[in-house]
Amino acid sequence: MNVERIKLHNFRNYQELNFSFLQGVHVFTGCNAQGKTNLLEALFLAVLGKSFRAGKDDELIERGKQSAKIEVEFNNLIASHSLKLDLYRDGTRKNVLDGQAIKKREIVGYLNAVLFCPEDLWLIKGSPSGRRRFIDLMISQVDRNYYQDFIKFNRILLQRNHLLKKIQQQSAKPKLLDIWDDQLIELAVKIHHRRNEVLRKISELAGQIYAKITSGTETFSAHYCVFDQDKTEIEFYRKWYQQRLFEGRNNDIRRGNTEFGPHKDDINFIIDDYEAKLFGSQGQQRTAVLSLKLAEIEMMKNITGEYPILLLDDVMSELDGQRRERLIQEIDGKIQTFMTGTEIAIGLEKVTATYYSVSAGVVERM
Amino acid sequence: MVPLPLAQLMDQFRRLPGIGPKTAARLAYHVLGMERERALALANSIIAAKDKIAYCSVCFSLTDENPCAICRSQTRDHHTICVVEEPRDVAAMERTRGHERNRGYQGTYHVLQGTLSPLDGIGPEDIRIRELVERIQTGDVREVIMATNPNLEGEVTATYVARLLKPLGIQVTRIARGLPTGSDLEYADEETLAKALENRREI
Repeated sequence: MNVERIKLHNFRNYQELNFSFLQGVHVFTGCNAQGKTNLLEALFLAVLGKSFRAGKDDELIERGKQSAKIEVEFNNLIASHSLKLDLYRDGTRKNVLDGQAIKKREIVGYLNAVLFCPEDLWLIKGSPSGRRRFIDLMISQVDRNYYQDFIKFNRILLQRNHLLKKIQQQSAKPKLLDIWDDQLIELAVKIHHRRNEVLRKISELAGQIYAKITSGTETFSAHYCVFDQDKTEIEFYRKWYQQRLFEGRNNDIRRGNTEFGPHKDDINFIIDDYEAKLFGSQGQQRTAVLSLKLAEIEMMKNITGEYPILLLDDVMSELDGQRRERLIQEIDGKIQTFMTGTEIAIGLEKVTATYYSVSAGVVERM
Repeated sequence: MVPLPLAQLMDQFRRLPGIGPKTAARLAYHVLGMERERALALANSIIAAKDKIAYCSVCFSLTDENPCAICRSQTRDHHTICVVEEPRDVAAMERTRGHERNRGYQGTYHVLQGTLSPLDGIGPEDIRIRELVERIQTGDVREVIMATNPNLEGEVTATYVARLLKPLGIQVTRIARGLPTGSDLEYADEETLAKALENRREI
């Protein structure tokens, strides 16, 4: 999978940008706050339809302008595509894929990417939401059913939480929860099953990579927090969740919030039989995150038959020589990579890469 | 500067659903270009529709006579009620009848005027569920067909009403989900295909 061209208009600090890319590694260097990450952000918009750091489209439009345009041309195994996004100040937008207007959620699944940024180093010790995001983002890109189920689950959750608040204020009957719970359980079962299935594979792949990096001196694995045992978990999980929801109902009403479910689940990482969240050293965490990201790439390749693109935001400076080398080995000649950094080419001595300088919203090939 | 009456007309159009500022301006200029009689006819139809049309006291669909023609009809099957969300859904269902009166849907309707949605503050007492139960308790109804939209809120509402009606000893059914006629499999979304597979039947 390759990005062939990117065009920007009034996007963040880019008034106009039009660049075409070949395969291989593309390195964007420059001082801080010049717009390096904005480029990765624009590419990521073509992946998920939303930014990995801004909450609202509004922040993506250049100051004083009414709209921004992002156009990304890319190819995958099947075809070439052109995705155009027009973002407007009032929050509306137009998404056009190959000349056809599509919904925001329909953007997902055409251009696949793995994003690796400094915040990911918190994947192991940070909050559960980061770990859920890691797995959801990965599955959503390669499995549109999952993404739809995920959106629907969140909608049911939103409805249920509103109902809980109404019951709390005694303006609705608790019995009304039954119908929403049924829907919630149905989707929760699907989401749990798919996450579990993918995580088992990720665990295997990341375990192998981790062993390679540490020359076999340490082991690493990833486990879903509930019912991760085997493939017969679906019915167990359904009954368990049903009961959990039912028993937690009064508590949920008191809090006006659904306290159990896939939206609260977590992933446990184990290094040498110890929980990495509690006992992992800095170095182990970095190795674990790198292993997980590389496993994510392999996983997507296994499912879709081709490598995703890789977006590395200021990551090279966070890794030591050995881990950098490992990463470079994995991407060189295989994966189209866009990376940013303040210094030119740390650890890239052996790679043929294309270099660009970024300064105040202007990109120049070096 | 746009003259005030014209600006006001644009503003009125703009408030209509699906109309943005550009379309509103186009419509307003179009109205100005009309002959006076045509413009008057448009204005009069709006007033007439607004004044003469009300909800049917039986099925809560829109009608200019109360009860509506369908609820009064001798030839319709009053043992069957099709439950829909909005009056425009009644019009859609009626299209199954075509010009010949003996085909398509023969029963009557009940318009809920909404769906359950805690998010929008809509509970069972805010839509016409109580009226539906009353209709069933007082009439000779044998089947209720749930034809709410196949989205989350529509499904939840259908389930809720079904659970409410089942103890009354009547048959409650749900319209099928699947592929639209004349469409292509390759363009169908995953969920629709999955449902179509789930609801397959022997031929």
